[in-house]
Amino acid sequence: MPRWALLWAAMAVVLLSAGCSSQGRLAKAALLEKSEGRPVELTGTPFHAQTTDQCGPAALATVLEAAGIETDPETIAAQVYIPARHGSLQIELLAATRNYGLLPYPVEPDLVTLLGEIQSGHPVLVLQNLGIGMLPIWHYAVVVGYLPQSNQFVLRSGKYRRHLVPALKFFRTWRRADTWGVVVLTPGESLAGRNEETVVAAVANLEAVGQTVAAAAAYQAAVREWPGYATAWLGLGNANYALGRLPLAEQAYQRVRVLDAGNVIALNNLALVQADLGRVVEALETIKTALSEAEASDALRGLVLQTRTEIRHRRPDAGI
Amino acid sequence: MHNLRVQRFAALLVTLSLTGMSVLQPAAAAIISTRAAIELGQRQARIDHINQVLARDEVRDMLVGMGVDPDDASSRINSLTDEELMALDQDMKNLPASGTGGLEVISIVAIVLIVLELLHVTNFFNEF
Repeated sequence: MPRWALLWAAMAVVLLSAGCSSQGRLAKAALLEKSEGRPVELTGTPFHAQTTDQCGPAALATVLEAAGIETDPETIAAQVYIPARHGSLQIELLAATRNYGLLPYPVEPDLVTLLGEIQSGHPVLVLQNLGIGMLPIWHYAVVVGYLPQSNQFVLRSGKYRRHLVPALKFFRTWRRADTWGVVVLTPGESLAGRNEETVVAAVANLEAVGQTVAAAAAYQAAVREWPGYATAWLGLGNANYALGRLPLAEQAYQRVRVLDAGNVIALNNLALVQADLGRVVEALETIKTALSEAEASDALRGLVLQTRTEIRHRRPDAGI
Repeated sequence: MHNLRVQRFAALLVTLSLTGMSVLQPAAAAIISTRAAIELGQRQARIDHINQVLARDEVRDMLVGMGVDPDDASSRINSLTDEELMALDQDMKNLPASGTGGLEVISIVAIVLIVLELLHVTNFFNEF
């Protein structure tokens, strides 16, 4: 068995190292440019030495505390640790973050963006595969700094408060874990420099699990950052509607209409708000527009018709 | 897992009997009426809903079966989106989890890692 394993390992090395050196030079140049030669390190980021199997809870507690939550790995373990798996799943780390009313945002899978997050004060929770593809050893750590002189990243990792890893070596372990990383954002904080679709999808998840106040604040920040992005306005409208802030919901839906006149969902929801505000005739006009925009085959059409029925029931004499 | 499929199938049967099979059996080759299209949409929505309810119970049971406190398991599934629930339901045993695996693979891993580590491909021994 050992002989077979050695042979196999040697083959793996040949395959894995192919093409890495030029990639490494490119990555280093890009990181140097982004850092402008200045080291960055979020020294205030807390540290929890990991006990057996507890890198998930330790890493998550670290980034939650950095975002202002008072917690510790033991509390987090009850929310994410799975004894039989001797570890924690990514999905549950995201879910636990949302539980605190915070927004887990998946970072773009490249080192320069990762560095950008650290520069803007956000430690990045990453999954690494410290083994290899077929024999994975999963590990969560928190990236808190980058040192351009030595081209190293600084991690809170395992037992080490300040673990220095060469950039390319880090990238390999990160890439073998699908370059998965998240930052924890406080709803309402600036979203500058991030991907609008990723942000809005993340906020929609927050909304879906009932963190409506947090979602509304995050959508508000999203429309501030991307005023031309209709989906963010739609989300803002829906969150405000769920919170009973009808005038704000109406404004948001109207904005969607300006940006994307044929948006059937926005029209449908706008009609509901108008009806709730007692403007039934106007609401039915909006429904009419929605129906003219929805193709006959559109699955949404059925929902719009249901909405119409519901609105008509509120005032039976108001036919179209 | 087998039990899961039986449950799914039962759920599907219940859904079909609720919505009525007529929708699925047009009398002859003809366009599907708008009404039918709507009902089809609703039927799919109901199947999705029933699957999600089942997934919720299954994921909770899986977590408890894997040693999670039952109360914790209940609150944990409540903070998952439907997509996340489905993902866990389908693949909880295989998704990456931090921490080491079974003892039997450790010795092989160790040998491979020593070689890779010496060649600076991996970064395992610096971590522990």
